[in-house]
Formats: sequence, C-alpha cells, structure tokens
Amino acid sequence: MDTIRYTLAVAGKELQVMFKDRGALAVLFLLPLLLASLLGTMFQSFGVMGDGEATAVSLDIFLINEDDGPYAAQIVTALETIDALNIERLDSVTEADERIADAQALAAVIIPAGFSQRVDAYEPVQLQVIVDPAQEIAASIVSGILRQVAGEVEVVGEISYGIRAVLAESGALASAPPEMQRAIEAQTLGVIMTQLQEMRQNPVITVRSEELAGAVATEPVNPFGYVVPNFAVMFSFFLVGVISATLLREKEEGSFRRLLAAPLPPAAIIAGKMLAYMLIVVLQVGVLFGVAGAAFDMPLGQSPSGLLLLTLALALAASALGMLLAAVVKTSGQADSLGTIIAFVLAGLGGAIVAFPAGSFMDKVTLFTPHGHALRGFYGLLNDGLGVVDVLPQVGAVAGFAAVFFLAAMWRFKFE
Amino acid sequence: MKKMNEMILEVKDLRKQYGSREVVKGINFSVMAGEIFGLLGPNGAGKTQTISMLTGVVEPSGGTAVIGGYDIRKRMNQVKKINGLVPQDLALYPTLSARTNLNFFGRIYGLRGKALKERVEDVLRVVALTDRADDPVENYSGGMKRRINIAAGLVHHPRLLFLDEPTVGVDPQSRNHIFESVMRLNRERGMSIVYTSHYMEEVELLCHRVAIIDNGEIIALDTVKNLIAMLGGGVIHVGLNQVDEALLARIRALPGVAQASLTTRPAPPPANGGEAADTLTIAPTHPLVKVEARHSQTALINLISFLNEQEIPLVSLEILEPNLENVFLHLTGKKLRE
Repeated sequence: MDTIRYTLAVAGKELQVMFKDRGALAVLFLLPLLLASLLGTMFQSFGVMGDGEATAVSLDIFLINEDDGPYAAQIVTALETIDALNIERLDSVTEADERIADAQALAAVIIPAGFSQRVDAYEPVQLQVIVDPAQEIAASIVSGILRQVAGEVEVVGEISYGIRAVLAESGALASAPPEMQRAIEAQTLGVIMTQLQEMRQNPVITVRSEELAGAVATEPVNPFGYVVPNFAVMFSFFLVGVISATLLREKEEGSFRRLLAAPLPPAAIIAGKMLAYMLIVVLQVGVLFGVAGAAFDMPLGQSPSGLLLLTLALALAASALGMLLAAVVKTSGQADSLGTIIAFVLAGLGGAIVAFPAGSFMDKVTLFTPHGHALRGFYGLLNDGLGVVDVLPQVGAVAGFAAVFFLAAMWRFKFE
Repeated sequence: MKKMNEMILEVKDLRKQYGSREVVKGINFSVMAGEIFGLLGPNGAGKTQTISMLTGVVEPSGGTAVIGGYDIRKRMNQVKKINGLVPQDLALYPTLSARTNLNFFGRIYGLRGKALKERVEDVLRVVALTDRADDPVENYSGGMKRRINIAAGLVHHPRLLFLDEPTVGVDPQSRNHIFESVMRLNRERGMSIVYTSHYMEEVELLCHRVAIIDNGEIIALDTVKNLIAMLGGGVIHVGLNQVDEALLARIRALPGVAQASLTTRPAPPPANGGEAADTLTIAPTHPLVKVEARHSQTALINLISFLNEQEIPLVSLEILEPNLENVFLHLTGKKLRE
C-alpha cells in the first residue's frame, strides 16, 4: 500500500514537472496534431487514400457562344448542368484570351458561328478550347468533358442527318409540305433517341461486378485513420528521450540522491516515473484520436477497450525504452539527442513514417519494432472494425517489447 | 544542546571502495543526540561519500553504522525515517514552486493531509520563505534556493540532519541566515546535525565537535577548542638559508618555544580572496623551520632576537594563528581549500 502511495507521489511530481515544460508539451501534443492534420487533409484533398466520396472540385471556364442554333444551345445546356464546371459566359474570344492569361479561368470553350448549321448538314466543325498552359491537367479535364458533350450532340446531328437523307432518298415525303417534312423528321428523331436512351440504360452487354462471397464491405477509407495512428505511435516514442533525460538530470542535479535517501523503495521511484509517462502517452493518443475523430471524422472503431489496451501497451513500451536509454547513457544531453534519433529510426523502420507494401521485406522489418505491431493493431481497430480480442496478438507483441526493454533497463540501471 | 548523553549515530569502520580506489578508509566516530557534529575536510576528502552511506544513497563496501538504534546495513528503511538529507547540490525541481517541492518531499516521507500542510508551513517559517512559497524555485536567488534546499530536508522533522556543504555559493546574508536556522533547529528542537564543510569558520562557529577528514581517513576528532589547542600557542614557519640540527636545538631552547623541526613543505599560497589574512609570507622558498610555540608572541620575539644575534638572515616568516584551518595545515601539510 505504501509503495503504491509513494509511486503515485513520484508520478504526480513527474506530471507537475512535465506540465510546466511548455516546449515538451508542444512537441508531444501540438506537433503530432498539426502534422497529422496537415498530412491527412492533404491526402484527403488528393484522394491518395482512395476516398470514395466525391471530391468538391470546381473548374472555372469561360464560354463564348457565337452560334444561335439548337446544337450550340444543347452544348451550352449540357455544360451548364455539370457541377464541376463554373461557367462564365463571355462575348469575345479576345477577352477570354486575356483573362486566361491572367489565370482567371482554366480554359475557354468557343462555339463558332454556324456550328448548328454545319452539324445539321453533317459537315465537319470544330469546338475551340483555349487553355491555360500552366494548368495542363485541369485544362485536359475540360477538353475531355467537352468531347463527351460534343459527342452527344454529334450523335443527334448524325441521326437527324441520316433520317433526312433516308426520307429524301426514298422520296416518300417529296410531295409533303416542308412543315410536315420537319415534323416527321423530328418525330422519327424522337423515337430513335428514346430507343437509344433505353438501349443505353439496358445494354445488351453488361459488366457486372460483385463483392467476393463472405467479404466484409468496407466504408470508404478516411486517410486520418492511417495518418493519425502513425503520428500517435511515432510521437509516443519521442518520450523516450524525455524520460531518460529527466531521470539523468535528476541524478546530475542531486534530487535523485534525495529520493534515494527517503524511505521509499527504489521500485517506487522507477514505477512512479514510468506511470507518469504512460499517462502522458495515453493522454497524447487520446487527444490525437479525439481531435481527429471530432474534426476530421476519423473512424474510432468499435472497440474503445481495444484502443485503451493497445495504447497502454504502447505507453508501457515507450516508457520502458526510456528507462533503458537512461540506464545505458551517461548524461541527460546524450539521452536527449539519442532519444530523438531512436524515435525517428524506430518510426522509420516501424512503418510510421512511410507505409511499406504488404509482404515486402520492409513490411517484415516493421515486425521487429513495437511500432509495426502497434500500427497494425490501430489500423485494425480504427479502420477495419476489429475488436479487443482481434488485436490481442498486437497488444501482446507490444507488451513483449516493453518487458524486454524494462528487464534490460533494470539489469543495467545504477541507482547509486 | 540537549540530551547529550544519548548516542544518535555511531560509525564503525565504515568503508567505501570503487574498484581499487578506497575513498572512505574505515572511519569511526559517533554523534550524540542534540549535538552539531562537523566533518571538516577539503574537497574529495570523503565527506560526501560518508554522508551518502549513512543516508542510504550508496551501499557501504565495509563496516557499518548505527543510527537511532538501527543498523544501516540491516534496517536502512527505519534509518531513512530518522535521517534528513540536505545534499550539496540544489536537489529541487526548479520549475515547481517551493511549496510544491516541499509537499512532494513530505509525501515521500509518508506525510499527507493536514500534517503535511502544517509541516510545510513550519519549514517555510524556519527558512523565512513563507512569502515566496508559491514562486517557482527557478526565480529565487542563490541564497533562497539554498534555504529551500534545507527546508526540503526538514519537512519530515528528522532526528538527525545531514547538511552537506549547505553554504556553497551563498551570499554572506543568506549564509548567516542558514547558520541561524541550523543553530535554532539544534537549540529549540534538539535536532542532531552532521555538518560537512571545507570552511573552518563555519565549523568553528556551529559545531560542538569536529572530525577532520582527509583522504578518506579521520585524522583528528575532538571539540573545536581541543583541536585548536593542538597548535598550542600557535605555529611559526621560519624560512632560513641553512638549517642544521644544532640550530634547531638552539631554537628549541628559546623561551616560548615548544618544538622546532625542519619541514620541507613550501609555504602555502594565499587562500582565495586572501581569507587567511593572518599569514605574513616574505618568500616561499628555502629550508623551512616549523616552530611550535607555547606562546606565539614570546616565541616570535625570542626567535627574531636570536636570529639577529647570530646574524642568520631571515628569508621568510609565517605566523599560523591557532584555528582549525591551521590545525588542518599542521596535521596534513595542506591547506583546506587547496
């Protein structure tokens, strides 16, 4: 009972000292939050993580319609119904040229005079697109959209021309008045287009995709579900340097002598320090996951107990590694710098900085770090809906690393 | 001083060895309850190592000690409750306030609740820092930090307080304050104190008895008065061009002179800041005769007259006033602050 009280006293003091150190707090809490937010948002914007949701893209284009015929009107209508395009109508090509040069829009679409007439006569005609050379990709998207729209109009034009040519060739309407000829042509066009629409909706050849039998359908991937655990695991190991430097600083400054002279067991000193830093890791992970869940809709999975258990194992591993470092280095300065290096190297090898392809050599290397196991556990809990039982192997592996670190630390640590 | 008939600390052949280097070489001494006991010696003499063993910071390599009836090798946990340690370093958490520091050091001695609060307020009063108790320690002056360092060793009301060089780097005003605190703790609370220092003035002022320690050994142990009496009427170092046994015999025969011997020790350099201003050094070379006086003034007058009569040129002259500094010099041939 006394040992627990002494442990809590040491842990309380460590936390008080830690929370007075604003620099360390910024590194442990704000920096991972900032980096995870930036990286997650970036991935989400570029859809790198395969997010299934439509991305809100708006392409500014100018439209100059010099034709007042029906086919030009169809193209204008078709373009205006596309959400991704933000269309501004202009009257002159010169103005469009100048404003694209000023980067006010990505491209200008010009429908030339006589466009409808030429389509109607089935004569070649061009839609002109002026693009901003600095926005090559976006401009090519505009050209692609225009080709699609023009293709629809072209089909209508082709069919109209065909109907007219067949009727003229057959001579069936030769004696009919022009109004009747146009009415019959329009009616025939309507029938054919309706039929065509039906055929498009019910194609003869269909491609059917179905999910693998028994496979669990997954929600679209939220990149924060990967980025945030990466930073959480990586930055929890930044405590390694802090723990060891703090402990060695106590030795250097003499307060450790005072602890040894007090009637508290040495185990309570170590346990108290580890407990404090474990709480900081739990808080660190909690803050990161909490903010990412609230601000970026990061999935938090179905198993709070799994998350807590894995986080505790992670906290134990980071604290024990801090103790081990304190046991093998001589000064707090060495502990500070070596701790940072260890945090980066382990994060790199463990897959917390760069994700390695599944089954690759480096993917196997990650299993030799606590990071690799912790990340697999967190990914499973957050993104795949795994439960506490499912991640017990990862929890066990991380706790195993903690045990090895701790035993090595106690073997090497000198209390005197 | 109270209850001086009861022994609070008895050190028996205590040793500490690091590899082949023995830093404490089987020392023996005892401290009575209510006594202020000084451990006087230069840096590296073994004072801190001795205190570290007695407070459980390091394991002794040999020997033992009994504190409050408990053997430190067997019942250190009981001993730790009796002891209070004020280390030489400022063993505090500088970003925390004095009150938070004291609360923590009280908790690790098992204090809590009202008792803890009362003890903290009490020791803050003892070191006169109640007004600044909620300021971070890092904002304190050097002297104030030293005072809180002492308070942290007092918060659990130890029966035996180890003060390891508590005035290092302290301004005169804070030093006086520390002296007053130490004397008040001893006088009013009957606290036994082991006080280490390499400042003989402090030990002379505060300590009832003093052990002089050098190279891990206690070379003298007695009351300050008796230690100083070792020098008799004082010591005079006389530098001459040539010395032989016949000359020494004639010097020994002079009135006021108790002993005269040849010493090879060169005259010591002046101490830091000229603190040992009672020495007059003419030249630090040539053979040196150490004259132990029964009465320094008589011996000096007769010695100079004798040398004049014999037309023996005086090369250097150093008068060592009877104090602990010169007792140490007399015993070891070294200055305390060398």
